[in-house]
Amino acid sequence: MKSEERTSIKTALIAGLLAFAAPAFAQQSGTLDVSTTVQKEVVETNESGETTTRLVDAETVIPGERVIYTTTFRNVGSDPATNVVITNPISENLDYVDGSAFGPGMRLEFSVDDGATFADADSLTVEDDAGMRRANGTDYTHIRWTLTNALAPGAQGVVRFTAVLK
Amino acid sequence: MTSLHKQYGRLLKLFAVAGLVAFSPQVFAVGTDAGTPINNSAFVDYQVNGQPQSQIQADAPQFLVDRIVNFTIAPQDALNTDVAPNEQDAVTLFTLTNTGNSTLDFSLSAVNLTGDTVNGTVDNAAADEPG
Repeated sequence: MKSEERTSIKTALIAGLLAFAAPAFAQQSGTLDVSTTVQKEVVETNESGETTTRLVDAETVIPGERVIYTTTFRNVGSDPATNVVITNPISENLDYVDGSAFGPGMRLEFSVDDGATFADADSLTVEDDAGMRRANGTDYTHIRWTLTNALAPGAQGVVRFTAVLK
Repeated sequence: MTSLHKQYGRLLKLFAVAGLVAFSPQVFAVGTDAGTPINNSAFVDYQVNGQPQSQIQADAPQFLVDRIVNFTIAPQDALNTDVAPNEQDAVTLFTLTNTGNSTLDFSLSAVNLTGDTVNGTVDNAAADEPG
């Protein structure tokens, strides 16, 4: 109960900050308003044994648990934004969960060389003791989303990925 | 000749057991240390009217790695300890391994199983780091 209250107070504070920030940004032509959140899944079982999963703010996480990062962006300017590219380095303490990245209208690529080069998941390879193999989530160092169309004034988008704490 | 084979066999078994004990601490994966802060940032590049704009950095709220308590306890010798009637101070060894992500204190005690007349106590314990 207490933590729920705290969460709602935080949400209210963040909402207040955004409301204050948006008009300031809106003054500038073509500026994007960007924010990122981190949540984790909590599975709850009720008296009749049914389980429900909900997302809560991740404040403490144990190794093996999954966290979900969500970045939202909105064009608060008066001109379209083009070539919108979102790059997210993956913390060394996190492993990307294969297939979890998501972004409507966006091309998705990954890097296994600390962001020097990017490619589709299907064409990324790494070399280990056994030779060349297809790269997987534990090899990725960066995720990159590229918006294929222009972002019109007032329009917004979202990208998301899941990672597991090592 | 046969007895020589048996002896070699026993020797080999002994090596196999010694090897297992020596390697077991490295088998267990220990997660990120409790209390470690985890950060994440997204970087956004874009253009307006064909002109590149300043990169935007969006930081996610930081979270902390919570403590996970995990351990294993196993007899160190595969063989039973033989004890003669009235023998004192017979020893059997156990290895306690902390497979969690923080240093913990453990308190061990011995419990007598039914059907014997052996009185066991924990005499000595060595402390070690997680892992």
